[in-house]
Amino acid sequence: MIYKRVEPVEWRRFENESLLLNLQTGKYFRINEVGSLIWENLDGKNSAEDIIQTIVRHFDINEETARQDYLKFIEQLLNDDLIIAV
Amino acid sequence: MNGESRFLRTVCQVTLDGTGDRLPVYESVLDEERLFRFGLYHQILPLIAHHRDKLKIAFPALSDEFFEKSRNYLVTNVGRVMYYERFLADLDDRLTTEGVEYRLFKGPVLAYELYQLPYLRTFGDLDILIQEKSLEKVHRIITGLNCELCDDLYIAFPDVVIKKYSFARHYTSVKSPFVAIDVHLSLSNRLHPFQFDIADFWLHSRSFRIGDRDYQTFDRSHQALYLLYHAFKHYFFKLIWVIDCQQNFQSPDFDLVGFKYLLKKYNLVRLWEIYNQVAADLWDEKSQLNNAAPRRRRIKIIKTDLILQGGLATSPSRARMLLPMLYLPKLSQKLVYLWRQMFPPREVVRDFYVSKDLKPTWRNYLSLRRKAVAELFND
Repeated sequence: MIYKRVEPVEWRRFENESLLLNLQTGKYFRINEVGSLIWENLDGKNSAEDIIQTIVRHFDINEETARQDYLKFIEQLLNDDLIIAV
Repeated sequence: MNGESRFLRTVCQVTLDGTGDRLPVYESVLDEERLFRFGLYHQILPLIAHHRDKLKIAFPALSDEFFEKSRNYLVTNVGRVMYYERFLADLDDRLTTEGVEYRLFKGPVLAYELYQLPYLRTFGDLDILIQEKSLEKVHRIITGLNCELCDDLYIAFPDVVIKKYSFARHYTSVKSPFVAIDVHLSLSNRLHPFQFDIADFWLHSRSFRIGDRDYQTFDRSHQALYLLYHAFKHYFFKLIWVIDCQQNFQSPDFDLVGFKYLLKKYNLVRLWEIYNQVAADLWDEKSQLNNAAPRRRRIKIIKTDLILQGGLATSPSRARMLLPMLYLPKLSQKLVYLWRQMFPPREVVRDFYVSKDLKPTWRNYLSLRRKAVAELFND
């Protein structure tokens, strides 16, 4: 499945985390470094496998851990209506 | 100097110096709750969070929880900056489309220009200066952006009085997220002794960038003059205002000669001396700039430690009266100011607009003034 970020959400990276802000509701979400990397890759083009491999390379962790982190984070983003499936 | 004051001074030093290499270690335990309140009051919590590594070394007794709380505040600031940035772009689009000329000043300008990262400088609203002819148009544009005129002061006063005395208008958003905008027709209330030449400020403008957009603001010298005035016009002081002034003076394109000319033009040399006394006390540094100020005896009533503790050791109403008396240079200005404070024009007495049964007669006016003067000497 490929996902993309929804329109009214802006984000900013600062230090080792990012802040996502829903401009319609004013609600914001703090995400850690792994989440930031996933979020930035949710452009409607990268597949789940592409992003998981990016996490593995970037953080030097095994594929299984990266996959679990990815799936858990995607679930959170879907629950908060921050992404949609393409 | 107590521990809290030492900590606040250190935050100033690491912000302005940037290195913080030679910070002495202060081992004593500090009251963290009180320190957090100071940080909030002086608007320096994001700076505390940003410089936490250096501050942790200098104040080893401070807990991780204290720095985490400051960091949480910084995070909300990031969100605020993001939202304001977007809102400002929308506002700019509409003002430009309608042909309204304006100047952005204070908070966002300082946050984006004077600090390493904009969210290190908290700002609670957008301040724009407009021309009087644009007032109705701007009102329509801002209310069209889901904001409303919210301060009962401006609602209560008739338009004719607002226009005559150039009050700023305060708007806030009607729904979340919260946004506040102050629309200024001038840079000081016309009852205030300092009357800036607005045409001079309109003329001396420059553009600066936020994201991919250019906005208009005052040039460096005029900005410095306004910051200095703003930092000391109130009866209370915030550390961030003093840091703003110093950051502006330290910026590479700051024109000291032009600034000193403006100080003389607007009779604010005395204020500059007060600033230099406070700055020297705060960051223990005789910079070239501070040395450039004329040397005078110390002004005893200005005590830097009291600024750190959140104000003067007197009541707000008394301080509001006394402080301008201190920095106004001429006796005639002092007398005019004192008279205006004691006896403002009847048409600007708020009680006449908000108290339905109080008619604006001379008798009622004198009764209200007697009450105000009594409060001044009793509180």
